[in-house]
Amino acid sequence: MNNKRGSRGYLLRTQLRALVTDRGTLYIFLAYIVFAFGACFSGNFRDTWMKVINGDIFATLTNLYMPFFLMAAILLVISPIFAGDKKSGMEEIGDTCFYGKHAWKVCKVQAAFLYIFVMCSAGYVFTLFMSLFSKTPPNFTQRVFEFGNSGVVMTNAQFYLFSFVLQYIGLLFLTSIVLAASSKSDDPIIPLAVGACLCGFELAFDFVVFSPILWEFNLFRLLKPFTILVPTTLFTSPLKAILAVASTFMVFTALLVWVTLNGALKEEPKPQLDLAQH
Amino acid sequence: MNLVGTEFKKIVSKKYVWIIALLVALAYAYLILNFANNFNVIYTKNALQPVFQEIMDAAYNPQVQEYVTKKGFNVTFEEIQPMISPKIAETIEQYQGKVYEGYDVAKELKEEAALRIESLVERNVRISESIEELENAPDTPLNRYFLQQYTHMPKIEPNLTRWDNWIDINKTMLPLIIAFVVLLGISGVYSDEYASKMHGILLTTKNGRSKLFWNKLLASCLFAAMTVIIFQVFAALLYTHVYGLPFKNTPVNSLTTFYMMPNTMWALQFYVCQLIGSLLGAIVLTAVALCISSFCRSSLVSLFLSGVYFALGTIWSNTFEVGFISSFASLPGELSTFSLMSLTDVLGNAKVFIVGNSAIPTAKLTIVAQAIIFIVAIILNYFFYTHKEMGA
Repeated sequence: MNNKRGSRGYLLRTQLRALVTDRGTLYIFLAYIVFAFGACFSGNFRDTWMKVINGDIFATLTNLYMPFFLMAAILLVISPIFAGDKKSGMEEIGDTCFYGKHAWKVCKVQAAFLYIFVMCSAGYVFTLFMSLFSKTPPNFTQRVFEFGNSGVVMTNAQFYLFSFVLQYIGLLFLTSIVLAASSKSDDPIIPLAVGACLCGFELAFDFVVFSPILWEFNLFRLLKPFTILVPTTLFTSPLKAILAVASTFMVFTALLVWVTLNGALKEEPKPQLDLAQH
Repeated sequence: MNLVGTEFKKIVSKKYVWIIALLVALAYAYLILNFANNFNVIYTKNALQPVFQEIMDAAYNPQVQEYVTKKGFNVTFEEIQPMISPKIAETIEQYQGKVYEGYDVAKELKEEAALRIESLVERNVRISESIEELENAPDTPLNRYFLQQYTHMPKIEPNLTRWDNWIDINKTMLPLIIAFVVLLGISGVYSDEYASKMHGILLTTKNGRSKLFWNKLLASCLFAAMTVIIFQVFAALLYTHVYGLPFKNTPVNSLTTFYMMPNTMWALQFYVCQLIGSLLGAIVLTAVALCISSFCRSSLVSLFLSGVYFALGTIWSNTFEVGFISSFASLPGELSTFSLMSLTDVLGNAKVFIVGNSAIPTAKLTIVAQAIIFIVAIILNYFFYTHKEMGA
């Protein structure tokens, strides 16, 4: 008997594989590739459908358009992670596992976070390859947003890395919202609706400044990282804005993960230690 | 209870639909109520409404028209004050010394009154110039259409009625909210049946699935209509609270949103069209969502795909919304379900699509396209849902 199959690592890998090979992932990624292909190789497509930032197609795609595809992937693929099991009556299986439901739930959360990392990385790599072969390849050593009055000085390469990190923090927050909603509901539609609602209203607060606080601490400030480099009335230095916004969302993410995992602890039956010795 | 009632009860008994609808409504209310304390909302138009007729008379006064035109449509209140009714100045004087959020109310109102007069003069001059140009222009379908519309326009009025805000209700956000709630409620109508294996059991019943199909369709349409009514009433109440009811009807071409658009409608007529469009659009969306639900095993995928269908139309429509001529590139957005639910772009801008020697109003094309989508969706839905039906 292969004991590796019962390990936490195996659980995590299985869950991650299930997410990555989900048809939703494939279709959304394919849709993004088609979009990015059009953006990189068709001027007509760019003129009609896009607003190019600073003449940099790579930065435009990763800062303005890719987040929406990643959000769609989170809503479609991660929503059923707990709720789907409950709907199909599979959630009780966790109780029969060697490590119990808690470990099973932890693995799902880890897999979801890794899945976002994989998707985000894949998006960046594919976009980079396509933009390298386009007529306007990215210039890694050039200073980013030279025209702006940003207090942060960095090269394009540093900005791309910075964008990746901020977007990952933003996407982790969205993932943790969806996970928390999924763990508390028995229909996958509910986490999808909750996530879609959040994205919709965050987008509305990002477009129109109804309240400076809601605009500053907005999910789209992380998902569109170029916007955070511009000084605002609340944060005169972009560095302060980055620290404040990113740390706030990280705290919320941690809180939501706790909420997600806490549900499992309550439902879990008392551990029977002697079973492991048998 | 008949089958329609049972199906309707099944849809409305989903608690999460109402909880999310409530959250969405609260967020929407928060967004709208945020405008309530704006200077423009409290003072600009409200304070000048009592002198609406005087402002209109001033804009149609030949002496004022000549002066404003000579000054290049950029005049101050003090410059035109001797030529206009003293009642306007008296009304503004009531606010003398009043300051709101750093704004000198009387000063702002003077600027607003001058702006309303010069804007009205400018519009009339531009339209007269356009008519003159069109009369001497080559006989093309577009020129004929513009000449017809411009010469049959109602008399333009000062934009002080609040119809700008009321027509804005259905521009983007409310159609999106209504679509979201409708899709949330009905995306699982068939998918949930597949998930619970009920669709197989139904084959053993006397009437099979065919009879159930029409009842499900009717119940879903009823739910969509109910959602539209609830949200339209809610939005109307919010707008009444924030902006107040428009104190009179006005031609659509008087509104800033539709500056120089060849629209001959009245604002109330247009708003009623928007309400009807919202209802019809929600019903078409219901048919499409049911069709998608009938071939999806999961309600999640059904909701996602229906959402993508609606979102694509919204994005397309908002990408090409400028102007009054439809092109092959802009048509997919203009014929979309979102476009029917909003109507601001196709009907408000009085868009036309040129085919051969005639200019067809795009709004008519939208209605025809949506009727076709509705029929095709129902046929496909019927096929997907009943194709495993066994004969008696």
